Amino acid sequence: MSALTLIGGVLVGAGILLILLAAIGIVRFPDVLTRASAATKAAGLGVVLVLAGVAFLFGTLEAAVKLSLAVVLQFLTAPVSGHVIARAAYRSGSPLWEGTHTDELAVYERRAGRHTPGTTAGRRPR
Amino acid sequence: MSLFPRVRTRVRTWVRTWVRTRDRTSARTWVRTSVRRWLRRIPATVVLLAVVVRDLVAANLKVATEIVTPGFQMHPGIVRVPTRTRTPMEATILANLITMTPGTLTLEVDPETYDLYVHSLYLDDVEEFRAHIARTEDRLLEVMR
Repeated sequence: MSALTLIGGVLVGAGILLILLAAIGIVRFPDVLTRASAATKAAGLGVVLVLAGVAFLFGTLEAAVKLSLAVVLQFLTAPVSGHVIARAAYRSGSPLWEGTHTDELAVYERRAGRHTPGTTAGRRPR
Repeated sequence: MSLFPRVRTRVRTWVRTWVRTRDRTSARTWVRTSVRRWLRRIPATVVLLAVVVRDLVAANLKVATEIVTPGFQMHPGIVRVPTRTRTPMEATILANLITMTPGTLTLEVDPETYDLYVHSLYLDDVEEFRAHIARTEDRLLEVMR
């Protein structure tokens, strides 16, 4: 077993572990925003680790170039979906977890004339 | 926003500067100074990437422990973060960097002031949180401007 295979295997394993943790996080976390945080984590470092590991396993320049491109695109696009899902959830009034202690966005949404039924506006900081 | 007009403006500026200065400086010197200007950005870019990767790994570990330990230690909140970004491109990249860091999530961007509304899982000290984002922002703007 060469060093490349070893590094590649470790990276892929770490990536899979992170994605598994994120999946558990999505089930366990209490509201949409915290779940979205867990999900973007998987799409971020987890997938990037798997791609980097595959690059090491192939061990060719061609694979490295293609997979680096995939990593860059992943970093550019993954946060966008997380942001849009979270914003849609917030605007449609999905309830926030009762542990959420500050919500300064409620002020902005109200000023923008949007109704924010699910927010904890007025809740005092702990 | 279309990218093309901005590229066009930039190329036009280059050509005009060259036309204006070609009597005094040779084209070669001019190319050399503009290349040098780009090279000077490389150290700042490396620092920015290193800091972002460090934050990414640290925050990943934090969220991972939150997931595997029973109960919730987190105390999430949404705060307004004023920024000094002044173009859609700068604001987009900063918002993306924030969302990439696990535990923080950009929820909304004020289109007029470019204030960001950020949801964070661990919001202990609001001022400390704003200062942390401001540091990342400083590094980013140093690279982009």
